Amino acid sequence: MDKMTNRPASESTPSNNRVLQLKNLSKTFKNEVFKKKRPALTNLSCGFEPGKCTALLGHNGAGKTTTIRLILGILFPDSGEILFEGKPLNTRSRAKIGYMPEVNKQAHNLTPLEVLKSHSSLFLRKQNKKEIQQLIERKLKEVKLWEHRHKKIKQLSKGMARRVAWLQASIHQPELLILDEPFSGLDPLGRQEMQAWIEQEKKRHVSIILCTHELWSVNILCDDIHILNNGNLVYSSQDVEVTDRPEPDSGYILHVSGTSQETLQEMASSLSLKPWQGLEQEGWSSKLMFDEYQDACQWLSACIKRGFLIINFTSDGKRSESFLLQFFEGRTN
Amino acid sequence: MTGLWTVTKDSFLLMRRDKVFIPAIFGGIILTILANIASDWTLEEYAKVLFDLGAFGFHIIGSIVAIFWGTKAISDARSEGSLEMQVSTPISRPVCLLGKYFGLILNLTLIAVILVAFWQAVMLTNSYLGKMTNDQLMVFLYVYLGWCVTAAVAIFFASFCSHATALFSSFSAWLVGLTSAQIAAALAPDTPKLTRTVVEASAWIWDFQRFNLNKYLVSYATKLQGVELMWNAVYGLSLIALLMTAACLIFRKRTFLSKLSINT
Repeated sequence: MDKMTNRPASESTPSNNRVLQLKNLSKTFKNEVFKKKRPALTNLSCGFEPGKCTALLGHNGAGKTTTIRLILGILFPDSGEILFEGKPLNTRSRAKIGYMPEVNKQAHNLTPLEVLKSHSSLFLRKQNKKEIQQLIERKLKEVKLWEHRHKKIKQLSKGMARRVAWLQASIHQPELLILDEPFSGLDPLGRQEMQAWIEQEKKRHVSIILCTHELWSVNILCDDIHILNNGNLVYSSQDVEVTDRPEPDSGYILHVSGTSQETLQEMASSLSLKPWQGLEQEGWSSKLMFDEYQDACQWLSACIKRGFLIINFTSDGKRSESFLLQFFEGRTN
Repeated sequence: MTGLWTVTKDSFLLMRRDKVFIPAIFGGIILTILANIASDWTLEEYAKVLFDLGAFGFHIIGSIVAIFWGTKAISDARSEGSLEMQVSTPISRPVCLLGKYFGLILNLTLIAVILVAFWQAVMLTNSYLGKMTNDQLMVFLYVYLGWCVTAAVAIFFASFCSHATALFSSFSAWLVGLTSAQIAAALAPDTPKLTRTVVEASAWIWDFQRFNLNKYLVSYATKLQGVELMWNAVYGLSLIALLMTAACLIFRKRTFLSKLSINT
């Protein structure tokens, strides 16, 4: 039951203006030993609007990855329907979908160049080889992987492999981009890059499904939110009035090590950085708090240039987390 | 066709880079050298000894590699998650499976060509043997057909079993195929009719000795029979078609999750 509107969340407002529509999707997994059935999704109905970034949130085991796998055809639903641009989703329409999995799932013994070549030849069948080759070269240079193009995937760092996964998802300019935990395992710079790439795709009016536990990214990137709990849709921002939506979180925390308050103050004045809204100092570790994201980013960049150790850069997600937690109360797994 | 070729090419590359590739070639070469040494020590029938031992080694190496790669092609792709990525692309699952099979066949072809070339080199160094005859080449062609059937068996089991189960089942099926004809031939005259019928029918359906042409070379009086050869080729190709069709049908609706995927 939707806690904000007092109506079942699965009964989303029908809309024709949706790039992807899930209708009464159910999926049950069987325990291999005892043949006990465990429902992963129960009558899930929700939509994803074109050009919007929609967060798919939920606790571990809520059904997020199952939903994604059903959309991608990796799993088959027990019942229900998946419509893409108003028509049942089929193998061909998957050419318009890009997918970045939570962990790197490329063949470990292939090189980034080979992975992208075979991926492009599956997705960009109408383009000629020369065009595809030029596109791959341009994209690999964009993400600074051109020098590593002949290394095997297993020889790349996690960050590099994530960049290959990003290119795999986006190189064919999909209409729908499914990102499963895109920020997982990335360092602060990697996160910033990933965020910039997602924003770039948003500008291209690509519909994005962002499946994540990183609530700061939801605040910054997403227009809509669907929350799952034990395979049920318990909240959808598309169902409620704009005034009912949770306000975006405004706090950002930059946790640095190897500097003192005096050095930070000297940095602020010499680089004309906007002052922080809060500071927690413990030995050589400082937690700087900001209201504005841009200010926090400027500080992050300055700290990196000065060579300070960045421990963490997150949003102050307490409010978002408490908002999310109310839907997880009483979960059984 | 683009999709099929892409998966075939990727599978070929992955298997060629597999650690087994070089040992397989090396093993085949060693067995050929040993067969040649053994044939040199005999007083007569050099070709018979060479082909008996060498073709047996050729057969074993290729079949083991076919079973190993056939089961590994699916299980590795499953465990590293690349199978999930492949089935989420705009190609159908049967195309994905067929691509893996053809990738395996390309690798087996490469191994066969290298080993036969080495075999020919060994024969040329032996003053009694010289250039390979067409009949001798045919022996290798049929053993190679046997490899392709074995590869289809491995892919068939891998399409619905775990790696260990598929590996064990494929080896068992291969061994049954090698022995079924001998078992049927060894039945005692007083064997009950029903038992005889069942054993003989099984041997007729599942007989990998049809790909062993050494019997023609062992006896110089026997010549390769065109019609029999043709039927054996049809038998092999039919088995491949049947096994791959069944594998594709099973694979179409199969649920498989990567070992890396722990979330639901």
